[in-house]
Amino acid sequence: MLRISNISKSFGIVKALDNINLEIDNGEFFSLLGPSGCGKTTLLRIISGFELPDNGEIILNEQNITNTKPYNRPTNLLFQSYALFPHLNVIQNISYGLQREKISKIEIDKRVNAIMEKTSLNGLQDRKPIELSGGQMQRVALARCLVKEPKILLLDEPLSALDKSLKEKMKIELKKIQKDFKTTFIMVTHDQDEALVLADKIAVMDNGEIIQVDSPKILYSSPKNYFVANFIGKMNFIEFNASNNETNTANKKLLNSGIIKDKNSKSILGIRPEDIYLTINETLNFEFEAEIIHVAYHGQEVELIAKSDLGFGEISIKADKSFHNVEKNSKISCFCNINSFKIY
Amino acid sequence: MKFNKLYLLLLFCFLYMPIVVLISLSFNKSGLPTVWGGFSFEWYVKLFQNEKIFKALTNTLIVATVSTLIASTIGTLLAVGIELKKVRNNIIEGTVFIPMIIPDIVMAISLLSFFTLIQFTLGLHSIIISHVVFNIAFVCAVVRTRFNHFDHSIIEASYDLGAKNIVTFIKITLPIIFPGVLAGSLLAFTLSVDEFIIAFFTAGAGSSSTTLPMLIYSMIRFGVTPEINALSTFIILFSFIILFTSLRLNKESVIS
Repeated sequence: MLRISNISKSFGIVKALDNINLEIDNGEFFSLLGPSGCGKTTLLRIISGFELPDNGEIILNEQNITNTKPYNRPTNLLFQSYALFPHLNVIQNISYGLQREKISKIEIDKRVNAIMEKTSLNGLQDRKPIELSGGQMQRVALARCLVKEPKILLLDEPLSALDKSLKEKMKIELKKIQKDFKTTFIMVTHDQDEALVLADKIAVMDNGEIIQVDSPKILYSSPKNYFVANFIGKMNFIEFNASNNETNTANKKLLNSGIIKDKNSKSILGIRPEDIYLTINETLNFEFEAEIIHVAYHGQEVELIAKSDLGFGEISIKADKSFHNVEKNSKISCFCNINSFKIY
Repeated sequence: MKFNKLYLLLLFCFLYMPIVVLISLSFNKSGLPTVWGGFSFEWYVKLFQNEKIFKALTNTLIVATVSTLIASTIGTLLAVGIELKKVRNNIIEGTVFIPMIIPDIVMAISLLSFFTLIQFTLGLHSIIISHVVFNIAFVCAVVRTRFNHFDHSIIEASYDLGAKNIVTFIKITLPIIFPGVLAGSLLAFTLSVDEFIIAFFTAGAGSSSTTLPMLIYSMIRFGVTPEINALSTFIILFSFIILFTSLRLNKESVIS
């Protein structure tokens, strides 16, 4: 298990990390997710040994590795640029790490061949990095790390340099390789979709702090605060302001329904597009009216952009294909369950 | 369009006519710059029989080789230090460049004064030291161009894969910047072979440490003999070969 306790790091007056605490289980696919500048890369570089924290400890399997040099750590880093050695061919790149250990040449060849098999790099042995495609370069970089059999593989935005279709393919491949090797993966990304698809557990970071650590499912269904709700997936927000609750019909509606219990509070309500239902069936216990502004087609489903009488501003509602031909400006009744609202 | 071509032709004449004249005169049998006495290798034969010239050539090659070896080692390490440590210090960058732009005569006088002050015996070794001083700057400048497209994360990747500083330098950094090191060394070598003023000032008395440019200068005082033309032809040929090799190496390195 990797235990990160009380890690802080500043660069000059900029506080990059503020008292970070995390526990990552062995064999887990863990993701550090956050906007750029949130400190996720700094944390990754501290785990890999390229930065030293100002205070705090990194404990790997009961062993303190906070001050261990990168070349002595049982961790390997997959660089965003892949950082392949341009003057070495694929085989030399992959065996470079093993040649630094006291391992016989036969053993090195065996392990390198095995890893090339597993990452489908056979036939590319003698190519130089410049002669490889983006996907191949990434697989070489991955093989170069995995051949060292690290306890933890750190991935710095591994998919950001690939084009869209290759990205989807590599996502599946990465997940497969991780399950195959049972290595702990810690991936830094700013792409919530990557994190949701790949990770077993996600830590959402902002401004050098960890906001929420949960499985993708829980993170999506119960975001802890406004930041996480806004960052993960799509959510509609309404502001409930106590100061004008006497005059505002929307506020009255929210109070009457019991979503807002304290009428003097000031809060933001959020609801996911897929939690808003369009129906004539009145079993749903919260209703509002909306006027359609725009219909966006996404293949099988439709996204309706509408203006509600609640004061949401423009809201996004998911609808099935029966709404494909709905007219602009037509009024719709929207129903949802009061439990779908989150209060911050 | 026509004017452009004419201009280019004139420019090339201006640059290379004197050299062409010098080379043709080295094959002039008459030995006089004003009279063409027919084609001959006579002066080349005489050149190879001249022991003084051979002694000077040996001296020049010793100075050039030793100063190049020392300067490329120090210059390369300097370039690596500046680039990899990301030293963006104007004072350091400036001091590295000064030996390149300082007038040779000023450098020659300052070196001579310095050697005299510390009562350093002058000779071939003092020429070598003086040439190292300016060659470091040139090697460093050439090697630094190799870092323009250098992905610094490959150094970190090497550490990450278990290599310490020295192994990383030998296995990763040096092979990648090597074309630059070679180009810088060749440049340093040619500069050292051609260099006159600094060698002249720091060679000391006596003829034992006379280099080729110094010998030519002393010979020219008694008139330009066709022997010097023959020698100059060799030096030109040699300098051109090295300079072109150096340029090609750097060009290739930019492409890769």
